[in-house]
Amino acid sequence: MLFNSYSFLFLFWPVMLGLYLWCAKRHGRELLWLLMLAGSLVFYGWNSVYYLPVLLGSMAVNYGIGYKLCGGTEEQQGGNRKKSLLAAGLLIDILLLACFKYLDTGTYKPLSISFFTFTQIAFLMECYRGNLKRTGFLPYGIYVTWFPKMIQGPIALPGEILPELEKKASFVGWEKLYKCCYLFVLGLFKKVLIADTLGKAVDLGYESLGTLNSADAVIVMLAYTLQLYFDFSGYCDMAMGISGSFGLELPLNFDSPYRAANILEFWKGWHITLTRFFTKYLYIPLGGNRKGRWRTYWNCLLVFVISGLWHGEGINFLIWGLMHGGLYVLTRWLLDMRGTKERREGKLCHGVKVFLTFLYVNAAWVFFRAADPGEAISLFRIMLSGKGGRLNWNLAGCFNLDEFWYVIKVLHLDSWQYAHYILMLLLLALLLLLIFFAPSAVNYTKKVKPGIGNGIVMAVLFVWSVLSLSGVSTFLYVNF
Amino acid sequence: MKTKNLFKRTLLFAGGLALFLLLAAAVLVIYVDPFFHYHRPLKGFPYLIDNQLSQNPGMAKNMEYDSVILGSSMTVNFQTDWFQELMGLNTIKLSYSGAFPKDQSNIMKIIFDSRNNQDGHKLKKVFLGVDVTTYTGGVEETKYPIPTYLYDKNPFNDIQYLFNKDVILNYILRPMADPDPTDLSNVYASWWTEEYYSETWVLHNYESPEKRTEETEPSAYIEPVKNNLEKNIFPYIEQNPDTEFVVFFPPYSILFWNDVQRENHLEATLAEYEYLAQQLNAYENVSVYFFADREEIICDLNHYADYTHYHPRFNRFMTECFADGACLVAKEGQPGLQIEEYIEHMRQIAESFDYEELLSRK
Repeated sequence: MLFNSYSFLFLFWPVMLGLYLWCAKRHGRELLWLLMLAGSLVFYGWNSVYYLPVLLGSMAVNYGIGYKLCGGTEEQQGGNRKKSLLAAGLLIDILLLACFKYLDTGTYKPLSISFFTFTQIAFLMECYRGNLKRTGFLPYGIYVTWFPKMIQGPIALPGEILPELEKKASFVGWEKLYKCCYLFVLGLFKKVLIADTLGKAVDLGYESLGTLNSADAVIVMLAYTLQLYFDFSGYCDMAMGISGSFGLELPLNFDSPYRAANILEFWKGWHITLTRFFTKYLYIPLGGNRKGRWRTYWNCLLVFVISGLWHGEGINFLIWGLMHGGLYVLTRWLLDMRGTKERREGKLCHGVKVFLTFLYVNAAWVFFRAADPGEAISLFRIMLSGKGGRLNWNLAGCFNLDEFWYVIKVLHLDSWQYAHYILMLLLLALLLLLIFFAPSAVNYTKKVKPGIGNGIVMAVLFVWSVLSLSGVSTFLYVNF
Repeated sequence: MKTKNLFKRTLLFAGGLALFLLLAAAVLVIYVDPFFHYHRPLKGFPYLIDNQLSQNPGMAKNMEYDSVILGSSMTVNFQTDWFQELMGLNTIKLSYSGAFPKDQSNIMKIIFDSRNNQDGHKLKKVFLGVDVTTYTGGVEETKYPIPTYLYDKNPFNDIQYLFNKDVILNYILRPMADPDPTDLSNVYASWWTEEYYSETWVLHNYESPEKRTEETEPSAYIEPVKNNLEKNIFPYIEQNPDTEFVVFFPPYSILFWNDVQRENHLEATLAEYEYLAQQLNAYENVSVYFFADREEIICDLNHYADYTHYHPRFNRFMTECFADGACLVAKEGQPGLQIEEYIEHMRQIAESFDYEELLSRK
């Protein structure tokens, strides 16, 4: 099930929250946990019930190994035995992931296998490190499958979920619920109206590279950079809002990443929980920064390469990982050279750094989106070719949402020869302003005030998003 | 305490307002019902009808008619007024561009379940254009994904129709602001204006396919065609013996036959035509018309806008044939031209036409 679906908005979430509150008030913890786990499995299996066996099998194995790992101290168990147990668990997880990700299993690719595998690896590692007590299967199951984070993360750590489940559940209170709903609505709007509109333009651009001029190509690149952010961070906003309404906080996954002045900062704000996962369970075990400078750089690069491969199969993702890893290492080296001296930096200089980082990240995303390196290079070639002429009519058309187009008509701007392009340029400019200067949805809702104005904003954005969930498909009827 | 109360009130207010707006949207959609999913068209509302996938099922269900035109884009230029004028039929046109047999089956199900065929009403005629190219497809294959919520009887998935920005903006508000009601007689007509019907334009856009050396087995298409007929077409013919099914094979231009020749499946294609005609003609309540071999139409590219789409005047011609029985394929043992004779004529044209000369004018 998706958050941006009628069945989730009008059925699943309200029913689940209602049952949760009823259970929290009248019944014991076990029933509540059972509800949370069952609900999450329903959510996961809604459209694809045949993926459940893989999920449940993987959970059973990991829980069993974790259970063993958590029992007793290292001395009692024998360090080697514990190590082999962990190794076995990790091997199974990684093999399962690699199997479905890289082998040709036809259309059978369990939904979100990357996310639930990483969640469980985190669990095994924490068990191994002795940071966790033995836990029951129900809380474990909730930790792995909790529906707000199941499909696209954030990748929560056991320490963020399990202790919270032990606390007494109750209604989160009106203020909290208001803020959660507000955050959810902002996330929904980001996903449905902003990201999906950008997505149309990006798809069209990549499908018709041959018709683009240089400016179009830059717009396509930029649109994808924006789409990815609004899509993924919108989803995470929704996840945080939903989970929060049940009193379970999810970790922050995005913190205005495009405002970063270097690539290190970018990764502190982009997919934070993935970076954290790799740092804790890959970078540090590899030696982190404890084995000398060059080994540190090597470890960083390796993390990015693996991150690239995790994101998708194909050479493109490797290139993307290397681009980020390469600049990451270079930046670290430069910072290391400079030492710890604090330097004052003017606003202009900071702005230039932000701009250059943004440009580099944009370029890397081209490899992330393109079907193969050749396509990515084609896009760059068009950008650099200096090919001029009018902006692509169809590309601009993707931004001409009917609701805005009426405004242009009412203002009688439609007879102007550039009218067709107004919305594209306005929306792109507005979105750039948002990502560079406006507070993130999470920070905004922390301080959002109650009142009629905000009530209206919330209702209108929600209704606008809901009405945009399904469109009327039109196909070109010209061809036979 | 007071601010806490304010959070509650704001949230409830926002929820109430959202609910009200959504309900208002739903009421508006149900009242105007631009896809005719719930009721007949409102009198005087300037309905815009341009979406076959979304509007055909509702038109089939809730409009009044005694005959229908079904088929692909080969049927969009029929004017239903002609059917009234020549045959006294109150006809509705429910074309699907590129339609597969499954598309026809989907809409026939709705047609025969509608009021026009229930409670003492009987559908008089179904005019069905048959394109050989689509009858070889899968029995469950549709040309485009269909909006299921408009085709099934599940009231819950109607939410996709009721809460739908496109429906409200493009099919309710736009017609209200800028009324240009669709003429039902000519609905879905193609956009090509007169100047597009020219040999120069057709040849300009035509690309001759690669020549294939290996010939397709003459019987290759029979099996899929049989499956399609049995699954998607015959059931409706058999269950409605009082309805006459007028099946016709449209006249594609000679360039279509150039494709067939170069792709080396002339015998298989002709065998498919023959099989379709024989199987359909075996029913008492079916009459078959064969236009594919009308030399005077197909050999002149000035009658076409591309390699298959003919000028609307040939839709008029076909309508006249339906009325007077020209081009009818005689049933076995009956006087008149049998399907074998039509097929032989078609073979002669396809084999003897000078394609090279035609293409050299490009």
